[in-house]
Formats: sequence, structure tokens, C-alpha cells
Amino acid sequence: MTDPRRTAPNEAIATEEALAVLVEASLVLWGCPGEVRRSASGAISVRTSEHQAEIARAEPGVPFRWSITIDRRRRHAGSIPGLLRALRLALDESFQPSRARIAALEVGG
Amino acid sequence: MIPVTVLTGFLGSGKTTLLARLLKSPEFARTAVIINEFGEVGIDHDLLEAGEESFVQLETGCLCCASRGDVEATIAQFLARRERGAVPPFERIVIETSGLADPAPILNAVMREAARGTGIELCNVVTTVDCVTGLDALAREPQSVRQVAVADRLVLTKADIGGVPPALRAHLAAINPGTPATEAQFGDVDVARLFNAARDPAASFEISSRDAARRVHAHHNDIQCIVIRREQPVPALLITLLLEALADHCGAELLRLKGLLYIKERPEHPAVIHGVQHVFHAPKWLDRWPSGDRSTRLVLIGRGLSAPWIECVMAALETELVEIAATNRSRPVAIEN
Repeated sequence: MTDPRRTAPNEAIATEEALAVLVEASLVLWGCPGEVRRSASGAISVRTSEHQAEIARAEPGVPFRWSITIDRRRRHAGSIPGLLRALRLALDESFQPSRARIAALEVGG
Repeated sequence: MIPVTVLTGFLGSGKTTLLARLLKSPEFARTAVIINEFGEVGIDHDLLEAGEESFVQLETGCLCCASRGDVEATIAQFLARRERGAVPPFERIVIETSGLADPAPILNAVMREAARGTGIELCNVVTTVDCVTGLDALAREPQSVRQVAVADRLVLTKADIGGVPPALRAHLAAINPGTPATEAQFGDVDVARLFNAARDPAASFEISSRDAARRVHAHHNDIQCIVIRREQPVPALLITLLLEALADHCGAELLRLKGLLYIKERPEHPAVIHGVQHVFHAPKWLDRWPSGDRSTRLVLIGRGLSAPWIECVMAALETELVEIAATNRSRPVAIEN
């Protein structure tokens, strides 16, 4: 049986690598010193002096792409920007995410 | 749509002189002007002679420091009075900011008002720079840098006194690369070219290869200009997600974003985007590419921006979208018998 949610493995690994680099760069941008590591399963763990987070693929059947567990509390994100928002909300008390949502670019001719 | 032009520039850089010329020009006869002066007693409006079909309203205090609602309320009042016939049927609005004003919140307010469907659109940001004192102002006054950073067009005033110092040109190009600069000799400048609503929307994207190569310009007061270039077309979704990340994490510090986009789904038509802080204009699709350079060029100007972080966001989004496309290709296809 083919799992319709399966991802092409090489591309999936590339995404996780790029995401780990982005999370590391984000900690620097946010002024939150911390450590970012990747596990063999591809999950990304983030450890700061006060918090611990794990980013992984959302489990099958969940209508989101990513799951993020911060201090044992799990939530989901549909996109990388959503993931970053959830992570920063937990790590940076001064963070105020934008209340505006960006509409999809209309490409219809 | 009623075009709104924001005229900004540091104290004494010639904004009111430029506005006076505009109002004397017959083709700009139907102009509503909002003048913002710092302090409680303004005189700038007395220095202007408006024709019968134009009118000038003075706002004292500082528009950028007052609640943004003030700008929106003034524009809404203008439109309501126009509708009632209480003022001449103006065809454009010009907002002259105080020389001390940060223009970004004002642009933000205009764009929000436009997004509410009130029938206005932000057409142009014109910034005056004094050729004599401009370098000094840029070195000392952070607002002066912000005024240059948001410009669609620069007017180099008092060029008749000693020309335009090359160092000033270089500094302006470093803050806001590719923005057209017009010299004003004895206050004389082609106002139609400056304020015309039908400006070339792609005009400010002629970024030189040198600018693109340097990509990041740091300034003493933390204002940076970052240029992102992509030769290959990018998926439309990537732009949406990138803007979302920028709005969240750069927000108020993002003074200006402008971009000419090479979109995968519509490669023959470049899209132009503009943004101020966390407010982005709906993109405009152009009929054709303005030159042979078919590449995505994004210019971001702001404080404390990080070029490596923006590149990391782009890279993560690009790889994720490649993965999604590969996943979709490898999905089993149902075959009907």
C-alpha cells in the first residue's frame, strides 16, 4: 500500500537540513541563545536556558505539515512561517506576531 | 482610484518649494494637500498659493507620532467632503510630511486606508534631499535616512549651488539602490514626471550588478539595504510565505520592501510588490518585462535586518516547496477501468 502522505526521501532530508539552519539563524535574530540539533529521525531539537522544543513532521492524519512540542506541549503548524511563529512565541516574551495575514498571490491571468 | 503621493524630506530640503511648483502646474490643478508641520503654529500652508480647484489643509503636531488613525481620519474626511461637494472634486492627494517625521507609519496608514477599499491608492513617495546639507543630515539624523529609504523618487535640491556631491550620490545609492534621482536647479524640476500617477512601476528595479553583488549595506544608524536576487522563477507560494515570515519577524523594522518578481506560474508577466513595515500592497502584474533582465529582485530596507536570516528563510521555503512538488509527483494516480 502506498502512503499518499509519503515524501520523496532526498527532498525531505534537504528540507529538514534547511529548516535546522533556519532555526539556528532565527535564534540569533531573536537574541535567544540556544542549541539546535538534528536527530537520526530528522527531528530538530532546540534547547535554550529556559525552554526545550522539538520540531518534527506532523503525524499522519493531521492536516498540518509540522508538529512542534515546546516544554511538552504539542502544537501544529501548516507552514515554516507558522512554525517559526510558534517557536518564537514560546522563546521570546517580547514577540508580537503580525496580526495581518498575507493573502495568497493571485496568479490567474 | 485617487492617487496619494507622500512628499517627505528633512527640514529645509525644499519640500514646500516643490509643492508650490506642483500647485502652480495646470495639470495638477485638482490636488488636495495635507501639510503636516511640527509645532502648534504652522506657516507652510501660507507659503503655498493653491488654485481654485486645489485646497490645502494643515495638520499640526507630528503625523508619524500621532495615532495612525489621524492620517486615516483626515483622508476619510477629505473623501467624504469631496463626495458631498463641500470641496473641489480633487483628483489626487499629496501629503507633505514634517521634516522631522518618520514617513513609514504615514505610508502604512495610507496603505491600510487603500486596503479598506476607500478608492485611494499609494502612488508615489517623493523624497527631497538638500545637496548642500544632505550628507550631514544623513550622518546625524536617523529620520533623514528613513526618508530616503522609503523613496520611490529622490529630488536633489539646490543642485545649482555646488552640484551634487558624488559622496551624496553614493550614499543615497547605498541606502536605496536603483531609485531614480532628479536634480532641481533653482527650484526648477519637472513636477509632472515626479508626481505622475502613471509612473513606471518597475522603474526602481534597475539595480546595478555592483549593488546586487554587495547585497548588504550597513549604515552607522543600523539602516540596512538587502538585495535578494533569483535568476530562476520562484513559486508564487514562496513569496506569500516569505512575506508572512518578514511581517512576523521584521515587522516595524522593515521600512520598505519593493520587488520585481519572476513567478513560476506566470513567467511572461513580472509582478511588482511594495510593502512598508508589515503592510504589503497587493502585487501588480505588468504586461511585460521592462528589460531583458528576467530575474526576481527584492530590495529590503530597514533596521536590524539580517541578510543571512532572509537567505535561510528563502532556502528553507525553496527546499520545502521542491519536496512538496516531488511528493505530489510520486503520489499514486487512480486509474479508472
